[in-house]
Amino acid sequence: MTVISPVAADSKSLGSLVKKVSLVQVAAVLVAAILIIFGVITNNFFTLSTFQGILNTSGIIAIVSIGVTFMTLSGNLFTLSASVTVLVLGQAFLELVHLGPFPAILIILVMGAIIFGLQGWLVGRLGANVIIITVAAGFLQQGVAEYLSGSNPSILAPAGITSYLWMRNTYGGILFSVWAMFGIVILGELFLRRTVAGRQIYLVGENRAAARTAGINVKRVTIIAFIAAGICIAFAATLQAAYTQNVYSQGPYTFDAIVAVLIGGTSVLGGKGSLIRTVFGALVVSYLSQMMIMRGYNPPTQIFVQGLLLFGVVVVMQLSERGRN
Amino acid sequence: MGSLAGKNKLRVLRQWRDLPQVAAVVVMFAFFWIITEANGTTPFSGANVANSLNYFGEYGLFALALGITMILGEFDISTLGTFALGGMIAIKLGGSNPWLGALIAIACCAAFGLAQGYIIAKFKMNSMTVTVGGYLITLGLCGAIGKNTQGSLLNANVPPFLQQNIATVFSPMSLFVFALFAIAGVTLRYTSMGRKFLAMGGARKSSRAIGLPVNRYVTLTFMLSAALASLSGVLYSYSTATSLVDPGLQPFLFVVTAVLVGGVGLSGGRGTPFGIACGAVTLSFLYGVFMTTAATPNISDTVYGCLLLVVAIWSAPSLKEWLGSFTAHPIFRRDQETKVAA
Repeated sequence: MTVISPVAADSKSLGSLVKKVSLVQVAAVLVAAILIIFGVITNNFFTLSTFQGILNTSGIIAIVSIGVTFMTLSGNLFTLSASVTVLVLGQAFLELVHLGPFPAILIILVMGAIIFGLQGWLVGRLGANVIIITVAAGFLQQGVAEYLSGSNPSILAPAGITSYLWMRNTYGGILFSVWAMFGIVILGELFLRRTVAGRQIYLVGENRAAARTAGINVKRVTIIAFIAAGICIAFAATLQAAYTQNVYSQGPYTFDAIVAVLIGGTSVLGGKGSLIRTVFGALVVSYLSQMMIMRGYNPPTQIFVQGLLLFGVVVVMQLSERGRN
Repeated sequence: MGSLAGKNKLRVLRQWRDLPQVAAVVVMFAFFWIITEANGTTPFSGANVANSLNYFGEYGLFALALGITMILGEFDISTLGTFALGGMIAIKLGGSNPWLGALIAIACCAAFGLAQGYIIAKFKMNSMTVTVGGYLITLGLCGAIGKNTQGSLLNANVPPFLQQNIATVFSPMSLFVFALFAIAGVTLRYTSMGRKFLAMGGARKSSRAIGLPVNRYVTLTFMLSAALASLSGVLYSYSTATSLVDPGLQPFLFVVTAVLVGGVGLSGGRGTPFGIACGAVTLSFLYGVFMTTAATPNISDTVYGCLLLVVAIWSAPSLKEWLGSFTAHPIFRRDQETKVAA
């Protein structure tokens, strides 16, 4: 009869625990610890008003990121023209808002769906490179918008029209964009989990060849994922335009959204992830941004830190996926 | 006899892989000439060509940097960051000694490229996603070094030296860039290293199976692409005497289009430095057209965007299949059947 000493048993259970803990979990704990430590050493960071600010700034970023998540889940990486689309459709919203807020929102959503649907068709049907197509689409949108606006860099909200201002108000201390984000997450998750098209997005992202063998129309699914992305980004554009009432330059949405999606744990190769995770990623991006502003860092330092974080997340996730496979 | 030699020459010409790229240069040059003459403000001269080729000098090596990673079947978005970072470091450190500034800039960016390439090669990662992180890191570094403001070169002798006229249409900068393209072309075409490189781009798995050092080549290619992009940034900064904090995606639009017009395939293994040079020269002449006609940004953005879209569609793998679906239509089939019957 062998007797296991308590110390040996402890070390054995510790060993099995270490084996169970994945690289992603270790990295997540490490990142969380760093964020909390920096938050603690930043003066007045852990206050209610700071967290209210983080939540309020994350709304629009999260909606753009949710759009990008549809693309990433379907195995089509991300778009490099999200900022341009937000700018162009935001300008279009301010031009159309005299029709009434709801018709204007509807037109903008349709425009977003068409812009991204066409890109989805090129990527899904012709197999064109998603990065190149989105860069080209970005410049085309910019060129057409500059032409239509007479190269006017700044589009102001029309004077005297107030019917859309409910979109920039706060409700219970929280901006409308944040409540809208929660609504979009619920609708998006229902679409992904409860509809055939949503489940097909996961399958196509996970294993394109298997999806094709199973008789799924991969091209159609790709176009649907792009259209979903376009609708989300278009809605974010209307919220952004309604909030600022003066759309004149591109925001940091393109890379903020990519960072949010990947920090949230959505697999860059597609098939794994969720919209809720992306919202969490967007909150981390806003937290980081707010903390660095309060510590007095300039925008390039924020970009540098975002880059390091993205680099680390991509490496850890791909290593982890390889280990699982 | 004479006609046989002529036919052989024609066959050789048809088999020349870079013929479409050369044709693109000729057509764009003719268009540039016609537009300048039609514009009527100043007659077409060597100065027009020299200005366009200076544009090629500023961005040509950036196109080569991206092109070599694409020939290897990878994609390096971080070249956009190293382009900006190289220029910024050179401007900050090259005030008294421009050579030293350029050398340090290239060395720093090459070291970054080496680290990035090692990670991509060692862990067999998707280069597009890793290099987006690399792009943000280098862009952030560039802004931090420049304290978020555009830098300017203290040595006023450098820009006139780089842009001085040689043989009417060239400058030291454009000739230097042409020379580097020639070295890259000869290396790829006539050395075993170059042939291995092309083989790895076309058939990565087979190359690994026959024992080629794929990881080493991938690592070194990313190092070289970072070094070339930073050198391009140095040339841009030295010739304009300014360095950019954030160049945006505009230079990327130019180089991606140049590389695709240059005949580089997105799946790897296809393309030559000569073709990339032709693509970059073609787009430089297009830039000359915009300069001559004083085109507004909306026109140039739309034209570049359309051009990139067209070449991206042209190089899309399923384009032939899609076009084939039209010819498989009953109308066409009936036509073919009639032809067969006849």
